[in-house]
Amino acid sequence: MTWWLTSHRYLVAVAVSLGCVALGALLGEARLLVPTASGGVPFGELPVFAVLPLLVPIVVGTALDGAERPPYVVSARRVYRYDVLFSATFVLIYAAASILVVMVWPELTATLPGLRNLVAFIGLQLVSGWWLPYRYQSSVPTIYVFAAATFGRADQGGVSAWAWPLESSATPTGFAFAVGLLAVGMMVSLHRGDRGRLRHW
Amino acid sequence: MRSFLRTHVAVWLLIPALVGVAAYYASFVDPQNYRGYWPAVASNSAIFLLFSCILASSSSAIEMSRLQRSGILDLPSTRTRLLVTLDRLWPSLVLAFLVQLLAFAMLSLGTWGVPGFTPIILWSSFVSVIAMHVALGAVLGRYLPMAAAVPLSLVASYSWLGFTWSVPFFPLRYLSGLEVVTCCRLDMQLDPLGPFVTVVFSLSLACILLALSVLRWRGRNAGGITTRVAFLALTTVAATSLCLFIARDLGAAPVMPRSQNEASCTETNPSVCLFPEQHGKRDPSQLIIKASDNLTRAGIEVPSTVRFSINASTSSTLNMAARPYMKPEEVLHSFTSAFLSPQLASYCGDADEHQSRLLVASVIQGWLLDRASVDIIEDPVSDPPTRVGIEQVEQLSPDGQALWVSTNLPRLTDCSISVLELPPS
Repeated sequence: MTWWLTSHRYLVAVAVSLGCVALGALLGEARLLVPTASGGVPFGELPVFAVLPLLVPIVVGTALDGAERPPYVVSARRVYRYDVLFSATFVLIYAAASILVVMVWPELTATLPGLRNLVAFIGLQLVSGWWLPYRYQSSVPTIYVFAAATFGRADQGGVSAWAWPLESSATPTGFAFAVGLLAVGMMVSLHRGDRGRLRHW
Repeated sequence: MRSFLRTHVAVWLLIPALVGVAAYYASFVDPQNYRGYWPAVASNSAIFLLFSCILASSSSAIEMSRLQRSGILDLPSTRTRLLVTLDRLWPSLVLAFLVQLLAFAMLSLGTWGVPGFTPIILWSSFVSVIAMHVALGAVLGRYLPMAAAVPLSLVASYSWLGFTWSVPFFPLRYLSGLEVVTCCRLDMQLDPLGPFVTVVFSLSLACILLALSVLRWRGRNAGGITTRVAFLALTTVAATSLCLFIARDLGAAPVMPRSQNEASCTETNPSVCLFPEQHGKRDPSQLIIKASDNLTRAGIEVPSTVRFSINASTSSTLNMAARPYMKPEEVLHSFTSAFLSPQLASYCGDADEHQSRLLVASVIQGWLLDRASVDIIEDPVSDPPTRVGIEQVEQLSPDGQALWVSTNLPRLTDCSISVLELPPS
């Protein structure tokens, strides 16, 4: 277990997760703007709570990719199933930290949308594991966020339903969707399990 | 050739980038803003830097990461590390610029045949911005594991372009290169200083980042590493401060009034000065002459020259706002608005008085529009309060109406004298 944890550089990942929660709470509703073609309304608003949680899938993906060395691939233990739990653990850590922040400082409203996004990002990452090696998995939620920021604008200044990472109100439906995505991702990855090994080698 | 297509990431990333460009073009681009004026077409294509820069940085992050893991850079070689690296990275630059060119070609539909050219400095700024993003991707690919470098290059490119836009400190915008999208109406031209700042900053940063990405930290020839890193850091600070200093007075957008030497004036009364883009299809001069005749008949004196300019009108020149293709309503609206000053009425210290000045201003503009549109378009004024005000003015005799309007026009911006109130209904 110690070998497994060390090979995954779990301390870096834990530090990044907690740092994201803290920074996300501090930055709150800050947004990046991207201009339209020639003046008009600034468009492509990209809230920080949609970008910052991306760091967690990125660091988790890097940890999993870094650990996947030849002894790992031929290990007798079911290490690929542990990997799914590794991803899920960071959802738990992030959720615990976020809930703590919300309980202590209820006015930090960007924390919950950030949590919803993180849950859904890890879900997307796990789903994409069906096709992609660890190395490219975290690019999937990243590309999704930027596609949503660029194309997810609804007519009345809001965001389309598919552009959920930009939605600033944390509704129960949004959370249900995120948790559903995570569940599907975990099932996909667990089902693929150790059979997925060697495929990308 | 086959191995080139197979091994360079930028080649297959070209497909999603082009899909993104096409989707963006179909969803958000409004041709009214740029069609018919080449500098505007080129500067509006800057918005597609979003796609070309992401292509540049993510493909170069993957290339650099592969180069790093392959260990080729540490093998003995006659070529320098820089040349070996550039040999992998140049397709990212070229193909990202190709995306930019294709985006420009898309935007230029509908402008072919119009005289004029696109400023060279704009193209230089696009190339240097893309080069900077290639170098940014290379640094990430060199120092981070590939699993982190690729998504972070996306985040870094997109955030740099978006972040500089969202801070209210304007000079920072000129560093990223997106600011030119606000250029230009037909009566404005690009201030070359804006793209120039972009070129200087992006090229310096591209060189610095590239140097950082091939830096040898240990082993032979690694001597003086502190000096080199300090030099790179100092150059970054110097380039940034220099560019912020040059851009300090540029304001929110790099535009300036267009030179009137480019316009040619007709021999009519009033004389209408048209830019080369306004000849041929939808030449507004006949419409303006007719509207001016209408106003003269209603008793309003029209200045002897009508120009297209962002400056305020004077007693001898009427300065209209312009786009290349204007509908008759737009021409008339722009023509009659030109009689008033851009801020409509001065604020003279009293909010209520200012409100009545603004009302008088809008009634005057509505009345002018109403009179100028005779036999051209029907019912030009749609705003109900203005409509009511015009009806009040129309209770006066025709000469009285013209007198009321021409007396009030200079008083709107003159705080030493109060405006004539609307006649009571």
